[in-house]
Amino acid sequence: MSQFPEEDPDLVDFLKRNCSTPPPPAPDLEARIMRSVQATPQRTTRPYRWWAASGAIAAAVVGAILVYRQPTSIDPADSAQIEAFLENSWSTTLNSTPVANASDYSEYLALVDSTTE
Amino acid sequence: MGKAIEVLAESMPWAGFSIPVKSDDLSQRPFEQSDQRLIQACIAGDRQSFRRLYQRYQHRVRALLYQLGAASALDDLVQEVFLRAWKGLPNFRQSSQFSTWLYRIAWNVASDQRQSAARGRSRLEALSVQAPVQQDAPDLMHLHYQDAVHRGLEALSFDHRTILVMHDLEDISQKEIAEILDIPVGTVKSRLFHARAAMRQALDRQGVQL
Repeated sequence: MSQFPEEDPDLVDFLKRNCSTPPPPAPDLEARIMRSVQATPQRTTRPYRWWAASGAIAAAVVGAILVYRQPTSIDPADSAQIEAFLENSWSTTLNSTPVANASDYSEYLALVDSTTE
Repeated sequence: MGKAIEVLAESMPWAGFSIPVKSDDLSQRPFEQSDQRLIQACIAGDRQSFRRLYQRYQHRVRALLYQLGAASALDDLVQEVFLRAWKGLPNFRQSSQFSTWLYRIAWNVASDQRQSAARGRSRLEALSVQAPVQQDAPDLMHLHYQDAVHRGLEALSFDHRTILVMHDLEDISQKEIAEILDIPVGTVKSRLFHARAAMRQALDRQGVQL
């Protein structure tokens, strides 16, 4: 059972009998409205345009990811040059380490001993 | 055969008899295109179909706007409603009734008008002193009751007035009102109950006993 009684016939009947009626429209109202309609284009949201836009955005994102992840190609000449540089710098590093060459290391120790005495 | 007689009777009111026709049958009468067909024609750009829709619904829109307090500049507001409807027709979802959609537009226009009126020196204030439209030679008692109803409606909140006007004066069902206002049916029932109580009190204050 509803909390609110749905019928109130006395009141509804009274309101209907005594409510004032709207004034009649101006004689040219219909023509006026039709003129406005004539001058007004209809509005469409065109959802397919949203689909097109979202598709373009998705394609751009995928393209960006692919470009980002693609390994950059290096010219073979550059590659050889880089490799040579790495080898050179690596061996230089190893050769400059005192432990790398035992004779150099013993000379170094002798020099240290002579200065401390 | 029976249907043909019904249509004949409807098209010849001078014949002196009438046979009730179900509202559903209105759209199937040979000379009355359904709302749906008219809407489709409108979307295709046929403005004459829109004229038919206007002629079909303008009385109800006009009455609703008027009872919601938008009596001044009523013609302009009716025009605004139908212009908004024309613009929005391509987006109208045909799952709901055209009348429901149109009532919603009318209610929005009435709300907008009310808000703009509340901001400045209002048309609505002018309405409050405007005498109700009089019928031919009304008796004094009827005039008094008419004024009492007018004042009673003015005394209601806009929400209560909307529900009372739609349901009790315009005979819109509670379900349809719920759709128009986008509120639950339970809220419609509750507001209707309170609106009627407030209206009774307002009438009572003016010496009208029901």
